[in-house]
Amino acid sequence: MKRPSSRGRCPKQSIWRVNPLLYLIVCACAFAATESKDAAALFYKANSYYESGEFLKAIDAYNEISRQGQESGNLYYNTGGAYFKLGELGRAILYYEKARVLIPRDADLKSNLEYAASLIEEPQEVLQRPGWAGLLGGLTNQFDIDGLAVFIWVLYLLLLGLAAINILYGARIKKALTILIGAAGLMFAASSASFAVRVYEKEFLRPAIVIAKEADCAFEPFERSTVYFKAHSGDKIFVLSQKKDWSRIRRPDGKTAWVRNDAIGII
Amino acid sequence: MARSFVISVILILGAISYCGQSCAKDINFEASVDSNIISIGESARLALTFYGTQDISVPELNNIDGFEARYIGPSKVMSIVNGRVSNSVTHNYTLLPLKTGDFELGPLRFDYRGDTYISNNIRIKVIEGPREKGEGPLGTASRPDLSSRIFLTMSLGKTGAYINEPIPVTIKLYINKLAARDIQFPVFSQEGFSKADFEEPKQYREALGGLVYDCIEFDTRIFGTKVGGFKVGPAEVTCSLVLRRSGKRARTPFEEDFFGGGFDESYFDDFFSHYERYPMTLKSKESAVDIAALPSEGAPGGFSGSIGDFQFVLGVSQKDVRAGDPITLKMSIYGNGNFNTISAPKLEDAKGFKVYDPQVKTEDNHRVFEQVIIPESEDILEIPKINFSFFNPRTGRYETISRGPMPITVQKAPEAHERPKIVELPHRAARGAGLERREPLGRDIIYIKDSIGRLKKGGPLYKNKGFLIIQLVPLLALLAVFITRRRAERLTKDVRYARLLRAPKAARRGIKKARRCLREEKPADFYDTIFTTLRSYLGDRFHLPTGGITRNIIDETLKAMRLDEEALKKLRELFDECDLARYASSRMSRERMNNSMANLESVISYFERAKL
Repeated sequence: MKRPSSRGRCPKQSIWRVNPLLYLIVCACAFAATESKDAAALFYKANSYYESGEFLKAIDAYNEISRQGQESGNLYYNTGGAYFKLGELGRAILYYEKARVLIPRDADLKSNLEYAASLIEEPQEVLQRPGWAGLLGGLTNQFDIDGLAVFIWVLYLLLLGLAAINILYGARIKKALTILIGAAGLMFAASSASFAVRVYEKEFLRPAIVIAKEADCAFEPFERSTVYFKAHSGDKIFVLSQKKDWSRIRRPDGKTAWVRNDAIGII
Repeated sequence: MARSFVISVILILGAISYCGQSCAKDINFEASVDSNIISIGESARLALTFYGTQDISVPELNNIDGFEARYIGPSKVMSIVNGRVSNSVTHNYTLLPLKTGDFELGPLRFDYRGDTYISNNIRIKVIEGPREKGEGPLGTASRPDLSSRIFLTMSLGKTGAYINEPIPVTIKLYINKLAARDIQFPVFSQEGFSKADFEEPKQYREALGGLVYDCIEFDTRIFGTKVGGFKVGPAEVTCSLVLRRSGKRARTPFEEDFFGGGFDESYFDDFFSHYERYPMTLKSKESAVDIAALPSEGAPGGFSGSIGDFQFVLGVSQKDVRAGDPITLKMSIYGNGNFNTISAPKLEDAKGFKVYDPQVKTEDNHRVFEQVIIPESEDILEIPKINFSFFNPRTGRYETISRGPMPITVQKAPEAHERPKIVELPHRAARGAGLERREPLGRDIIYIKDSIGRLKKGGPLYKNKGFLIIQLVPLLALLAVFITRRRAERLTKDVRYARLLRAPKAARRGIKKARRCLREEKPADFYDTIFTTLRSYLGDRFHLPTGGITRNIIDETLKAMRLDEEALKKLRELFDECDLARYASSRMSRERMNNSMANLESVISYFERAKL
């Protein structure tokens, strides 16, 4: 025999009244699921265009998802593939680089990016980072920036947990704690340094790819200015600032110049 | 000055030489043991003490009847009593009893620098040790000494064998109610033999002569390399006996652990006992074995020294090939014998084949040879017979097992433009055959992804305010842990602080109780509560002994603190009222009680606010 609720209502009815927060969460989830369903439908449609060789239509459909404010590694990967098929190497590399930010460990992506880069007629010189920085970068580049943030957060929790244990029981297990705190602290410091570099690059340097086949990089931001050097499709550069239609860029070797905005794509 | 220095030196030298002479005359030599009754499995501490000197080298103790002695080290004592200096040196030994009985040690003689020193006698009784519950007389009667409690045996599987024939060797370490540690693998003399590695030792119990032993068995195999009669062994095993220094209790410490002797009051004896490790080497008896040569008659042509009782299985990778294609023969030899002596079975006639060296793989009881052969022309119809010859020591004869011939189909080799067929080969064989795969490979991008993957909306996580705020939570939690811990530590160490914290809480409880008494109109209880509350509060607040707090405290202690006179007056009144109520509680009216209640609250509130 069921016991009636204290207010004489059916429990099912009272859930939403009692838990408006739950209602909001469910609504938000439902909305997110609908959005995700739409994006997925659009994605499959774009894939079908790709399969039938209609690469421009495929790119439009992929970009439509991006315009909705959603992004994913696979979306950028496929967009890059479609541009590659159209022979737009610069844009293909741009989208592969965008994908690499989100899915850095994807083997297919690595292979495609490497292949696309190998097709650049005048490949850019790659400057190697010094030993420890290169090693650290190599390790942390295995994470996307959110993954790295979560990793650092876990280390942060671990360190604080160990610090709490040290406060409570430090006298008894001093040696083991010292080693653990030292190891966790070292990892935390290294990861944080790498994270800071990544954030700095993303926020202040703004990496970009040259998408024009050949772009004049001038001393000043106007048409008749003297050309300093020429950038080629697929070159990686950093955008330092922007002024109307022009962007001030820096090459990995440190040379800076102005280039038209439509010749580059920011990652 | 110089003169007095010379005189001082002469006096000191004279004193030293006098001391030296007197020491030589007054040295006493005394021997003692820490226990006169010990049991087998225990040890005793023997101390040889030389009084009157510290300059005596270590006496050697050899051939003490019934004991084995091991030197531990010296200890020196120097004392000054009433200006008289006395010194001594003691050389300590561990005595390990080897058999039961009554023994007399000494008198021990020791010659040193031309003087002979003679010690006293020591009597030591070595007993068998206490019986275990339920142990019969046979057990006690048959363990008279240490050699029957721990010993080593070695046995050979055969006393006669052919050259290279495996001979099983079993070495067993028997231990009865003793604790042995650091047991090493056995070593034994094996001249004229080669030896395999020892297998994993086996541990079990074995009854021998009415006693149950813990047995550790080491198994290996030896192979005769020369013809003739040889001795194997003696085997030697080194280990450490864990012995309890003799004392009240005559049990070994591991009897309970290993033999389930039960738990009794002697647990505490064990706890306070001292144990020591006594390294020892156990030797077995040696064994004789005759090694015979293989018979010279009847050895088949393909015989290459394989000895044992074997089976031969042949497998072929494929039977339908083109000329130039490799065929892998898998030849497996199973059985008992010396696998190290086995060489690959041979093709009787390899004409028309290109033959590569076989690859060998040996496991527990079989050896596998993989050999690549390549038919050179399409005229070949079969793989020829393959023979494996060995000497079987069980039958005492040479035996040959033949497999094949095996029919195969060899087709014509492909033309130059045709792509060669590649089969999986052992790497080395393939390289030898020149069949490495080289082909041009095309390249393009890898195909698009089928699913959209993890969709992301919004900026990176490090810009998310919620994520940033949540970082503060564990930090605040850590701060709370730190503050709580510091407070707990201070409460433990600082009694004054602890009492200060306790004071207002206790006062609140007291006031609550007083109010209840007031409501119930119980003047005696009311004033009793007020008095207790005041005493407890003032004691805790000013860190004074609670029991000694009376009205006098106002003049003796509180007045000096320059407190508000009005508050002190109220306090005095409260103490007076409490005194009065103790003797004449019926005179306390409701109004007076209300007044006292207000005074109590006012006084405590004042003390809480006052900066003291």
